[in-house]
Amino acid sequence: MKSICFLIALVIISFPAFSQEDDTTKIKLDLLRAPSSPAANLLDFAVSDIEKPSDVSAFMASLQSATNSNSLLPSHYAVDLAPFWLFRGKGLTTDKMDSRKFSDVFRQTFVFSTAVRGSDSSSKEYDPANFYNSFGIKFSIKRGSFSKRTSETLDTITLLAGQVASDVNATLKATLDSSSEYQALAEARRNKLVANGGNMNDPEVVAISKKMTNLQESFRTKIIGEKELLRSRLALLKQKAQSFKIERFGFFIDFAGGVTLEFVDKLFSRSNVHNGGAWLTFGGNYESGFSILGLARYLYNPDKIFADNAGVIKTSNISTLDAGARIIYNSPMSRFALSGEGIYRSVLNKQTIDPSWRLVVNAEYDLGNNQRLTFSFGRHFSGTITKGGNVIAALNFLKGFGNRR
Amino acid sequence: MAKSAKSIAKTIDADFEEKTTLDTVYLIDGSNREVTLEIIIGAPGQTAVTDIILQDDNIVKGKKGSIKEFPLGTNKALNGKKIFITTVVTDTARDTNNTEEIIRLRGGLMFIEYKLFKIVKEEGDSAIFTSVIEFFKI
Repeated sequence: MKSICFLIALVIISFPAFSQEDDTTKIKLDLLRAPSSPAANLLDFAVSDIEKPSDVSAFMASLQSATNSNSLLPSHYAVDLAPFWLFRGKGLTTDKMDSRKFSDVFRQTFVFSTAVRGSDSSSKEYDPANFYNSFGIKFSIKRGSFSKRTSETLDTITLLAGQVASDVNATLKATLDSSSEYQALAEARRNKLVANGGNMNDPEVVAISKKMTNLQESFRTKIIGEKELLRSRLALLKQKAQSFKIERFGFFIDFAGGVTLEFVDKLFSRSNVHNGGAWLTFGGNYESGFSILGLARYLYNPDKIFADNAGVIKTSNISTLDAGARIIYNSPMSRFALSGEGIYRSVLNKQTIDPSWRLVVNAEYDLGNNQRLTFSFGRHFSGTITKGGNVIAALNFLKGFGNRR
Repeated sequence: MAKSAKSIAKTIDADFEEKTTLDTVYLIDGSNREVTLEIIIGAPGQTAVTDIILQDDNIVKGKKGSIKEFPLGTNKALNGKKIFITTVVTDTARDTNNTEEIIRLRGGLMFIEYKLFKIVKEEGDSAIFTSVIEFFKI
């Protein structure tokens, strides 16, 4: 009976709070996140339309298709190029992927994007008489470190692989040193090289080297087949490698930026800046369950002005600055979760719209059995700003149906 | 003379042929110039460990990943010696099963690069690359 009364009281308390909600609560901080491809985003390409070649031949094929075998200027094409990965990033093993050196982080994460849009009579945004070309870059300035689990698995893999390498190398050396067949072949190869003046391409030298290679390979296969310890280490190594997964925690800073040029009448000598943007994302997530995210976005001539819901301002020569932050504490060991989110939005070069901000704090306690107690408290963007702030409050009790978990 | 399609196909096949063993000679002179060794591991995202024995000295033990160029000794000092290199490349990259080792030698009569390559069958498998290189002055 007590719990029913408590439930009714909670429902009553939450009613006035709902009446204060407005559309601005639906604005998500994630809107400020950097796009996956800045250039494509500035020219309104769908993510699925962006080409992401993983090697040079794939890039050439994509370019050839877009240009009709190099005979036309592409009219609808967006591509993301990660130079380090495009050229297969030789030498990038897992130990380097945890590097925190800026030069390593930058070259491993740098992405150049470009997009072109030609005549498009269906669009109001783009003049079919003109040609649009956007360029963008994206990279990390700082990234998180491997999680404890990732590091531990990698250490085990490295240890086992090191034991296998050392064992195989020492045993193979001893086997080859004591093999009269192998030593005789080595002697014959040396004699032949002395006779032919060091010609390594001599067919006889090539043939001897091939025999020595085959002999070495058969010794190696025998060593691995006969050594029980080696086989068990390799089996464990495989098991650990299969479970290996890269997880990162810690502080990170990412930057993305881009600009679109509009070529009037498709003349390369007559161009102006159509739109542009820069995004800075920073924060950190930690194994304790605490995470913080900060976002800042500058846009020049955006499609839609974030601070202008009603669409009062015409989007020409407009610069906007928006920012946001989110803090989340959600420990896997605790039933309590706390999060806070703030968004600031402004138009830099027009006085029509004043800067506005929103702040919301949410607390949640998991009672178990599909029951959750939540509490939110904050301030909206809306006209209430002029009234000196508008406080919203909601205390909700959520009861789930179904089996008790 | 233009290459026939068959010979081009053969060249391509040779490039992609799996090779996990190397046995060769690196020609040197009698100078006091240093001979250097560099090892590059692929594909991106794989995990590798290398063990190197120069004649009877275990000069590199449990070295992770690629190995930057380092001196092995002078041409004069290396004559008649052998280097044994064993690298275990474990497939930890989720987008490829390719494993690769490039061995570069500089400072002898000429710069030379050897490529070893294997596509492992299953996720998590390891490729064991072994190389024996004899330093020899004619």
